[in-house]
Amino acid sequence: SADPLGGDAPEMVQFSSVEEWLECIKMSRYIEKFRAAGITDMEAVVELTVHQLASLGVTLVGHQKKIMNSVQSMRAQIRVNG
Amino acid sequence: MASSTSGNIVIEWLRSLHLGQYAESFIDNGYDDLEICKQVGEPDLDAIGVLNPAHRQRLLHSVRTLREEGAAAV
Repeated sequence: SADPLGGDAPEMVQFSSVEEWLECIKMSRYIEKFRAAGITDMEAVVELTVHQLASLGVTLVGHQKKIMNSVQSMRAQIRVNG
Repeated sequence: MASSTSGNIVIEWLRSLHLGQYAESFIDNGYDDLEICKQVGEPDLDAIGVLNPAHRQRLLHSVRTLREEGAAAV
């Protein structure tokens, strides 16, 4: 059962919903704000900008950073997987 | 998804202030480098869960020092 790539393999996490994704990164407090801003599927999430985040009510820089890091890693996965 | 809580400069910084108990919450809230910690104010501490007034004061004082003197002050 040992993975030859070990811990170096990127985590291939697939989120089926915005709610699931926000819960996973411990940002579920923003679920309602995302919904109100019309960001209701993962296609919209991967297009997110920091400006959009701020306008929908994510004003804490740490939370902006955390969310954008996750968005960027999803974009990288999309590039890798084609 | 485990967050790394060893060898991070924010953890070292918090430990130097004897506030290591907040390390996990800082990291979980995205405050995982000193550049981002320089921007910490009252609303950030609310989100992180630093409620003790003495701890808040100690952190905000250190954040000011970070801004003025940079990471060398840690």
